[in-house]
Amino acid sequence: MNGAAGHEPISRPTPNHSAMPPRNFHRHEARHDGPRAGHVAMPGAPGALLLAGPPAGAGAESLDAHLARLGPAGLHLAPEAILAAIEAAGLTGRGGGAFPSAAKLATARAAVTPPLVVVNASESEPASGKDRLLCQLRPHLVLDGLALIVWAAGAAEAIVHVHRGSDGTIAALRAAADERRQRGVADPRWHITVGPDSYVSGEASAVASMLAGGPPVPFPHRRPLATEGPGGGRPVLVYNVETVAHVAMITRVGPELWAGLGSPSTPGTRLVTVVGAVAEPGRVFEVSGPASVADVLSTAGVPGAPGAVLIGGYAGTWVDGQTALQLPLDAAGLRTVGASLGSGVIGVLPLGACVLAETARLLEFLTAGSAGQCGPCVQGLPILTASAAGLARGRTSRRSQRQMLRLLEDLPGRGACHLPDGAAHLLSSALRASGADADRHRAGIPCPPGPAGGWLAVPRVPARSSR
Amino acid sequence: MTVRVSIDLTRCRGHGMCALLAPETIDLDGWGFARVGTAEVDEPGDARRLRRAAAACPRQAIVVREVPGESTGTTPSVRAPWSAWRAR
Repeated sequence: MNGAAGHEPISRPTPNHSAMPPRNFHRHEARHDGPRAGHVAMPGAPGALLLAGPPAGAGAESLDAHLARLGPAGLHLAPEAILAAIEAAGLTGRGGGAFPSAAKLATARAAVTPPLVVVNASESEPASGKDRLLCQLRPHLVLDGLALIVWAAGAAEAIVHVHRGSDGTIAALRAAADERRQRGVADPRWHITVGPDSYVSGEASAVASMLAGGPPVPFPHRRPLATEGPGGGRPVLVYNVETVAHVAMITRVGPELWAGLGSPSTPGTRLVTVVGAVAEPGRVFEVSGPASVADVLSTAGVPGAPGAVLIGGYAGTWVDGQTALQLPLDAAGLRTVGASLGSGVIGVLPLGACVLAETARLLEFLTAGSAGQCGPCVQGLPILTASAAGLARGRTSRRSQRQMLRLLEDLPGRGACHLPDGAAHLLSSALRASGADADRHRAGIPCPPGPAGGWLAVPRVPARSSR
Repeated sequence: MTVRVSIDLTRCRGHGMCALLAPETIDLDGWGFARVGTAEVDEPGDARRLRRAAAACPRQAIVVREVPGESTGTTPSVRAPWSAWRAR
């Protein structure tokens, strides 16, 4: 892997090497600006990889422009070579789980039944906008990645799964598909499925369950989905949109160059969505090199230190502002504070805003998003939410706090999906990050109220909308 | 023989039979839902009680699986011949 301070030109590999990069690899390398130490790029700006090309205002990139800029996808590679390239690159899932993409693909290839490939564009993380942006600005990159995964997995068809109300994404993908058909691009058979927009319905096993005709809720699977689908059926290989777009880039630029654009613990570039108290909430940035949270915040227009930063998503980790400014934005750096990149959401609270009040609102959203399947989640989340809300208002009792602390220990790992884990983690990190604030709340003194609706926007979810 | 236990919490309704039959492995949380202490059990007696608990669960929410590759040879393998082919 190449370090931060400029990468060496990669020598042409031996021809029979299984992970041989495609032909257009040198040409592309010459065009790319090359990795910089900690770079945060807007769509179309120099330093971007997935989002290189025309700026966001230009809309979807046409197939001609896409091919002129990047050349064809690496479909001339053997499936084994694609798998080897993904493995050499060290790509991990960008939907939130960060599961090694090559391991999942290898599992699917080892299964007897060819899998159904699912490109998960449901993006049920409310604050995230990266998958939508990729589909709408670079649909051909996503479809290239889909074709590569289908080919590498030995699958026959694929599905792009979106949630209700993603008309822009559907339109962009359909237009791109028409363009490709007219130009004779040999794509596998794929179609779009639409699922509900509730929080847990975008989880991989929930998508798989829905596609198999079941309810769109997570189901407990003891075997990997890539080995055995719902009800012992066809294996399902679920990849996030950003993940497949990265696959399309890895086969073009080669795994070494791609990995060198990241940091040792998080190879490759990564897309982040910055929300909250920033100049323009919901903007997506592409981060490369050993960039830090501070780099992202300064690019997003946060003057000085924030009050606190939520990292990973609405079930992510709160970090107080001072700590956040020191953090590198990669897996190893975030792990030091118990956080992970998740789906790439970075929520910013200004100085003086109440972390606990925000957390109470987020918990309410998570609770409403529960599928209502598992006892501990059904019983525990409402209590957790109520005690957090009480604490946020400065109206709490010893009993309520004891109960809350017990739940924070009891809930993790007690469900078919990781919703209870995420909710408990969110609240424990909030208690840590709010520091002295939490003590004042316990003494009955609440923070002054923030803006109506809070800093982090939460969609209104009718309870149990997923059933 | 090591066995691994997991509780399917979408099924568990807190009947509590498991905690009576295999108290060294499973206890109940405040609402009565099963909670696994240690997921992997080595001790033959504990494993036997765990299997009994799994069989007694009215919701069939307890899954006990052998951890492959650690067989001591005391229990004959019950893997079907096609399992090797499937795991190819």
